[in-house]
Amino acid sequence: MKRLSEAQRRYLIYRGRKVIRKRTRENAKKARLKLGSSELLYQNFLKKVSLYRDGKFEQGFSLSGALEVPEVLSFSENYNQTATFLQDVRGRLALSWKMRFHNKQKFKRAVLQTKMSGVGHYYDFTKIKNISIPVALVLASEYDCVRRDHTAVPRAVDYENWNPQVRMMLDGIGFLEMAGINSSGPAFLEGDNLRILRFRSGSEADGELVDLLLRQLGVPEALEDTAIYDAIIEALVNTRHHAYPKGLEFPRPHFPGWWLTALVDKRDRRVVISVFDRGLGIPATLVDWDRYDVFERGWRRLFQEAPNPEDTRNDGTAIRVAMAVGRSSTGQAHRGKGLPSMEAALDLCRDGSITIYSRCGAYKRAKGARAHTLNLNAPVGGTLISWDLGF
Amino acid sequence: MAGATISIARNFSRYPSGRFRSDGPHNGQKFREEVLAPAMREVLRKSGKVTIILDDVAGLPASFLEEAFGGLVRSGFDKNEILSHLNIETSQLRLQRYPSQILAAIEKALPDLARAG
Repeated sequence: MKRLSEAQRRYLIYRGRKVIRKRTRENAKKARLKLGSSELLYQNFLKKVSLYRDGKFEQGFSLSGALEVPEVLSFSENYNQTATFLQDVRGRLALSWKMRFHNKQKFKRAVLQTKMSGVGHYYDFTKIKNISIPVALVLASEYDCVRRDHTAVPRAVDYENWNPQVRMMLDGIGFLEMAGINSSGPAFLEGDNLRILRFRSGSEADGELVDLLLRQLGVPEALEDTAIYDAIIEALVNTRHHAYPKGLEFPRPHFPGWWLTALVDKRDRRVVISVFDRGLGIPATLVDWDRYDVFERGWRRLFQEAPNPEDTRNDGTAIRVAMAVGRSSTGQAHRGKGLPSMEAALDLCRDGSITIYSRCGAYKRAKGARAHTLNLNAPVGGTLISWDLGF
Repeated sequence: MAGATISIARNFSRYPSGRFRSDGPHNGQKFREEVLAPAMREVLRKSGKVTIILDDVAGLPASFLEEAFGGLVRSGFDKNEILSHLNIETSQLRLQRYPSQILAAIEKALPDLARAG
């Protein structure tokens, strides 16, 4: 056998490596083509979902899978999990489209190869068994900010598998319209014993709109006395004047306004009206209040130190002191009557309560009873006022 | 005797709401500056009373009342003159608590010292 020269040996090694590189490229191409089939894509890293918009369903995929959602979304029954979930929603919606997907290239490739629409992460609303109307309103406000900011709006995923009560509640308050999933809907949704009003949002204290809402409730008692009208207007005025201090920049998406909805339970003869804003919260804005000096005196009597607006540990107590200051006849009456007038609506009804969640505090007072407050671990994300009135 | 009669619902709005002009279209500042204060100046010049009719309003939130009527004092009107030339009427039971609230807003308001110079 002839001995190979050094040059021949180097040439044969070079040619061998070239063949290996060519075969590697060909094998990779075959693998990509093989992975191009939708079924294998699903098997490997995509989850099959149905996507809903404007009455139409289509098959799609989720690139990153479902995010957990608490089964019970209610501030009164499950506050910590509910508030934490809503914080997570706000945080994720705040990400821009570019940042929303960990792997934008993978998503684009999946769209091209499956020829389907897709989503990245999504909240698995099929897991929700119960959602209260105040939570539905807060959730809807987050998506409404995204829609107003002209950011890409999420789709409803696996909508047909949502719990019917959840679907009715979210559809009833106009969540699907707010999220841009449905284009339009009626003013209210009527079930067997429930009437749910479509949300309203705005930035002005619009009395005409509030009066229209009260008429749509279909509860004549709500119009016989003006206390409910006055209470709602004061809540909107407070949002306008205090929730979004001038000069402060809020993270996008942001809309410096309020959201409002209502539910009538005709069987139990109850009305629930909720108003929400995504502002700083009552405890953080008291320092700008005309009656802050009176509030501070009351605070010092309790804690023997000056109030710290950045300390959230006693937010419930701060709200209680503020309500008491508003009710008192001492000090300047120029401003500050808004908070107690929100409670006046309780006098109208056979029974009822007002609940205020603001930053990390909760204040609740039932008709004829003393108020009680809670200092909470998680913020509600603004100020939520709910009237639950029996008629 | 000369005087002026103002129906808030007919001469201004059925939906009083908000304190300042920036709060919305039916605010207390607008009512005071465009309707109430001119009528008050007129009766102070010629004698008589301003009669405010509350009927048919959807409500009268505290911030609206305070800015509309308490704001008269802050904008330079004498408190005692306002009280002696103002009459508030309503025939509707649901609005019966407002006359006393209006008078209280006027009583508790303080003049704006900056305006007084």
